[in-house]
Amino acid sequence: MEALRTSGVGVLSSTRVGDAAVSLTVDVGQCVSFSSSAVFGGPVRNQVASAGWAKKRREGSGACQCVAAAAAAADEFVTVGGSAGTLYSVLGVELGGSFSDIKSAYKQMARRYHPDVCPLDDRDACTQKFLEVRHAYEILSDPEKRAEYDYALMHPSFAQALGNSSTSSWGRSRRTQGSEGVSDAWRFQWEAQLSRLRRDSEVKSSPVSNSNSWGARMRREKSEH
Amino acid sequence: MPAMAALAASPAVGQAASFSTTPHKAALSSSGSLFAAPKLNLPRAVPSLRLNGQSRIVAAAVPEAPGPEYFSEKPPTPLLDTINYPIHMKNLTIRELKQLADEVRAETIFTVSKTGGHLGSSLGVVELTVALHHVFNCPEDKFLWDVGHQAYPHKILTGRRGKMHTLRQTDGLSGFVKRAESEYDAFGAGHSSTSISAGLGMAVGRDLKGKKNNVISVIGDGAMTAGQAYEAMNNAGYLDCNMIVILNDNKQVSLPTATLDGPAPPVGALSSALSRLQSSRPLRELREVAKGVTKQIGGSAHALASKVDEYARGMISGSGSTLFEELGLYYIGPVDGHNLDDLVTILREVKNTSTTGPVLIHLVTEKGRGYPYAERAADKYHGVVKFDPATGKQNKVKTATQAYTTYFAEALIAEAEVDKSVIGIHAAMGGGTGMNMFAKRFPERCFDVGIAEQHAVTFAAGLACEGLKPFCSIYSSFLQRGYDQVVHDVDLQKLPVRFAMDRAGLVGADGPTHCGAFDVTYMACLPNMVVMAPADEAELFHMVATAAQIDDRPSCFRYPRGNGIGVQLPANNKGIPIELGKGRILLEGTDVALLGYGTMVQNCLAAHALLANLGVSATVADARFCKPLDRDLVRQLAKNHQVLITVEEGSIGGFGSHVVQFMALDGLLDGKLKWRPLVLPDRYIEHGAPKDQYAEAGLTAGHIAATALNVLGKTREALQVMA
Repeated sequence: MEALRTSGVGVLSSTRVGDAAVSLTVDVGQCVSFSSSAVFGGPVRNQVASAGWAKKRREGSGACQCVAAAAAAADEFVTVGGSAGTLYSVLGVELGGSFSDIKSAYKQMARRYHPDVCPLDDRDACTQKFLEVRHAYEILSDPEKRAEYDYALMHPSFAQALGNSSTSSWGRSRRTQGSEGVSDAWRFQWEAQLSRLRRDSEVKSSPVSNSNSWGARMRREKSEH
Repeated sequence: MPAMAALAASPAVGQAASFSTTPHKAALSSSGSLFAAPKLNLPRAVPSLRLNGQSRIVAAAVPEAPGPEYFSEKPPTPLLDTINYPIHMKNLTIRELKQLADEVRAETIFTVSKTGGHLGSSLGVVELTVALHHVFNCPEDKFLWDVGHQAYPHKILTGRRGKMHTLRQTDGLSGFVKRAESEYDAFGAGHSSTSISAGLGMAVGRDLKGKKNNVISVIGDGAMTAGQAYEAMNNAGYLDCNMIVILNDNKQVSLPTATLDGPAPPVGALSSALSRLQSSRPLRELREVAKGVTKQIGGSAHALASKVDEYARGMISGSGSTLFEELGLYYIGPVDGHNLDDLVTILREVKNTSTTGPVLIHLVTEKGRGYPYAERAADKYHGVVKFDPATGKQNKVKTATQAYTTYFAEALIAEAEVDKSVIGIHAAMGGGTGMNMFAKRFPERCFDVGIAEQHAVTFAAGLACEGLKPFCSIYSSFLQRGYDQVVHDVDLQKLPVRFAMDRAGLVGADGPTHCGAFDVTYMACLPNMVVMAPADEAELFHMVATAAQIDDRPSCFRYPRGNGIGVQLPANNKGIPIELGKGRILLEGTDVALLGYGTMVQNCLAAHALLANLGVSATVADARFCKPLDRDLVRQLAKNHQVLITVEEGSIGGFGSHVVQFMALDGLLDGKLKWRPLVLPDRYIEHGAPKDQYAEAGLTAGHIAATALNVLGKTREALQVMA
């Protein structure tokens, strides 16, 4: 278990629920210390400002993708949901653009930023931009992937759960490149579900439980004998 | 030549686009084609190769010949060798369990490579099986495997490893779970979606008897599309008994567009559960915040902490809890179904929690996992014949004729070409019914409703109301599930729905769960139904055409598993409609009349030869229709012969019963005629080779001839012909 300290509490406010968390913490104290398990998923890491966090990797997974995403995300705290840092802005099309719009935008940009077409001194930046453009086109031209991405834009919690808070780096740390990432996000969720199950069970098995289901009645009868 | 070797040796297991990153595939795809290159007969030393006007390989870079991607010999299984029963797994560490899972996987692959059977599904649940047996105590704890075809690892670990080579063979292990086979198989299966219902029954029974065991039902996402699963979950949520449902989600629901929860956002490759992932990160933090708060406040902080949780839960579940929670099952997941650590943790946790009510654990697995050829194949090697483990090549025997399934699909396509109102419907069996072929040709006119036969039938009835011509292609034994709909929605209202019942009669290795023994009985007793059966593949084409023409009442036709006999097919695959209620005489004789229904006519023809050798002259007739029966034919046969034998591959109450009913009412039994029926016996015929099954059932040519000879008093010849 690693204890981490967040310096920027404001970072947590990119979701509605996060806001509520912030208001509670501010009342109680300035520094929130929370423990995370060694297999903490990507979502929280991406939100943390300190770059030193990027070095702390998950045990035993060996996957670099989330760390890369974290490092990338650490630099860009884009609000999820705005079109500013999205793949759409990379191509210069609007959110509801048709496939032919996207295709022609891609062709234009590709022609402009292709390394062979670039002036020599701008080669590196051009290549970088070209790769971004191509990546954006890859995602937005595939109807399935595009639908996923659109959904993520509308539902930030969904994107976080998959380990992508920055929607412009969407697709790079995806589960298709390594299932460990999403597996860890899931682990986070089912651990919470298990603890809730345990708690519910204690409530249910207490003698004052007022559950009147058949199963509950049978369990009560059995415990009485 | 390395170039030709490279191209010719591409694994050709019939899959289209694949996403493997093995070197040779990457090289091939760099040339612009994702399909495995076909064998090329090219002259040597050709630097740039052209095929169909397209360059096949980049001239300079010639890929290495792709090597085999799996073992050719079974690797040693030291750990599995020490496990005969699940109790031997109790003391293993997680690392050893992982090794065991790998060994079980290899064992499964090599077993199925020698016997044929279902492979992909078993590979997807290896880790789950190992985890279940490690955490729980089968057979006291009940494991219910839905359908049962994924239970090969379960069989290997429960004392049947030594017999796995007899899988699906006569007198061998069943390909599904079977109570009579082992005490570790809690509930027999073959049809899908029954595991939760049975599990709930076992849980209630356990509670009534005061026992303490666990009940675990494993059901796939495909089986979840059936209504019975929801009926069971609804009841389970209401009764609130302790039980565990494991949803094995490998995204192999045959229905491509719907999700489990119905109208969920179209996130394509992701399962709908993933799309509803509620980020519990805020909950976690709040919980920690609450801990911090209670530490500071102290005292009766329990109320405060629970309030915080309540608040958090309310905020988080603003988007609505999942379908399963609404039904009353506690949802845990999604979980990586191939991660043994996770599986053991969760299962142990749930086991140790005393009062849970029904819990649903959502596992995400990959069908065919661990065998590269299966992972890449479009059908994930769901059902295979014997294959070579190293290359994944199946030993598909080339036959002179094709399967009846294929002929049916071709016939339906031919009908649909000329008639726009012909529609095809099937229930998640696009491959098995041949409807995939129809769907390829007419994508807008083929409907796959998922594993929902009841819905398929009524859906077809609705289509018929609108003047379309629906062909419901459902296996004979699966149509049993939709029988009330056939009676109430189709037959009672006399709607012209056509039922194409594949796998009628005995089915070989799949056994009694898939055997279509009852369809003649249950269809022919319906007042408005036209019931027919082809004697060979040409007749099948004609009957499809006949059914397409019957527009005023429902109709059905049945055909068996297996290949055609090799008769001439009609031109352009277009059959000619037969006059209703008209059979035909194939061979004329004098002593005995053999009246066959369906493909049993072929056995009658063989029996004719046997009888001819012994000096008995037999007439062979093909009834074609059980309803309306060809009365003139029956009268003619009854009046002109001493003995009439009706032969069908169905249970009592079918064709023979209709014939004798008519004969009795017509006075044909009042004279000297001796009638004998040959039907499937009054017991279930176990799985095995078709030859063995027919012998067991008493429906071979020899049996038919012997029956005739016995009736004629020639008992010695009867014994002779049976020898």
